[in-house]
Amino acid sequence: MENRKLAFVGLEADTTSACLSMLKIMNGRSSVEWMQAEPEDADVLMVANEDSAACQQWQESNKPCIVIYHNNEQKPSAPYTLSHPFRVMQLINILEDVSATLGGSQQDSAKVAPSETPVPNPATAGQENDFSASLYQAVTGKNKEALYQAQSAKGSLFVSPSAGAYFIQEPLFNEVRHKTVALSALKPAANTDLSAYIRRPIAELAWMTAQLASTLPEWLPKDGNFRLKRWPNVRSAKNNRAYLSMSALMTKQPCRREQLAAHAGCEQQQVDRFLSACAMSDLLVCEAGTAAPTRSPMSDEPRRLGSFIQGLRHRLGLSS
Amino acid sequence: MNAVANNEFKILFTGPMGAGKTTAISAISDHEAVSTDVINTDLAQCNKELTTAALDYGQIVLPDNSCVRLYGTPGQERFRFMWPILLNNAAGVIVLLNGEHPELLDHLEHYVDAFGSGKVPMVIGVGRLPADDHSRLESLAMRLEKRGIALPIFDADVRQQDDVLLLVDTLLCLIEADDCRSMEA
Repeated sequence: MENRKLAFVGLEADTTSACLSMLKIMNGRSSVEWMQAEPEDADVLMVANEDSAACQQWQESNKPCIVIYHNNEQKPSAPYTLSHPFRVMQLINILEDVSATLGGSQQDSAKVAPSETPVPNPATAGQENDFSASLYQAVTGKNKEALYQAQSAKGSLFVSPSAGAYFIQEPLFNEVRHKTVALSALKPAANTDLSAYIRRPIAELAWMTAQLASTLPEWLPKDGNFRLKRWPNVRSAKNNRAYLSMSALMTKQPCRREQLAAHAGCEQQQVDRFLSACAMSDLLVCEAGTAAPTRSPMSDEPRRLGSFIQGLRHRLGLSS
Repeated sequence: MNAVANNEFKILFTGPMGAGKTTAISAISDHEAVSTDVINTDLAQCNKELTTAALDYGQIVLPDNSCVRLYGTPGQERFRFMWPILLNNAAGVIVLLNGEHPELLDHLEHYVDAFGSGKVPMVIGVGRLPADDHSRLESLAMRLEKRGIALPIFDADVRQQDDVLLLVDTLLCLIEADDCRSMEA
């Protein structure tokens, strides 16, 4: 469990109080334990969306800032934003996103500017493709009884497709989670004593691996029609509405990548990563067939249903 | 299925006794759920003092004054005759299961079959699962996959409002996906 410091700048007292209550709830639910600190000492700042000198000063600092804006305001153009009021899971998600950019070392955190991309990672380009392709082969291949091993400078991990699990030690897990380590392609391993390793679900490894890719991996057809044979665990996908929408549509019928992006209202890269993660979790089927229609308000029923859905989401605080 | 009747939108919560239907409805209803609780005389089935004898009811009034009605079915098998009545015109169904129950897999199939075999938008929430136990959810998903049914199955502690909201949001996504298909038809 990592410890990080969080400071509040310009937020109203009730918002700060709500955040602190949520941080207490988060203990044990998040991979990072957050503590309140003064802005000077904080790793991450939560800043009000206003023009005050203090807010401007800290937004221009090199510390990652989460800009809190009211849900009746326009979304500010900042790397990290949160619409108020927000729920615990939304706070967890954004803090985990920000935390991932800070890397494993707290000492380095002050050097990270909010507009910077995540820590440069060696696990990109061809290396991650080799690992992702081998993971896909391992979980979808016929020889699921085998144990596979991938190596890195920080140790090895083992994958057992038949158990639906991978086995990893904590230091390497933290490196993989922060995308700061390169893994070799999986190779069959001899029987190994895994008692010193932590057992974790393959879907989690698939998800973390998929986040390294910038496009659809070569081992998935770009013009394919994709269908899900089971729902992924969207909890590990951070409860993002886009993943729920894509999963819902893909369990109804095969869909093309572009249709998924339009339906879920998200970037193509997010679709590609999602498809990749589902494929590496052995949930995805690529088949020929009629793809889903694009949404167009042609009849009264969907329009009325749409307004109900929109209204209900609004009332329950589920509007994204 | 006409999911919008009389400017109302109905979501049904179902599952065996003690799965948390009343709690889930109360978590999101505008008002405390109206329950028809009576003293539980079937302690062998579920060890709790009160149980729902007819139905639970909650509602959420939307900004345009239309209404989302939340119904919970009674968990006892002898009230099964009420299920199709409550299912009529429902936009979707949330099935709540007790992850500790030894007949969990049978309960899953029982409720999925009784409420449309996945043809009606349906989400499964499984409570009382050990932390980080993904294998039980996996086995439930596999059981349905063998029958060609793909439904969202989540671990859900219905005492946590966020977990109930996840189930509802997922159900809404399924209803939207159905909308897309019905427009093509």
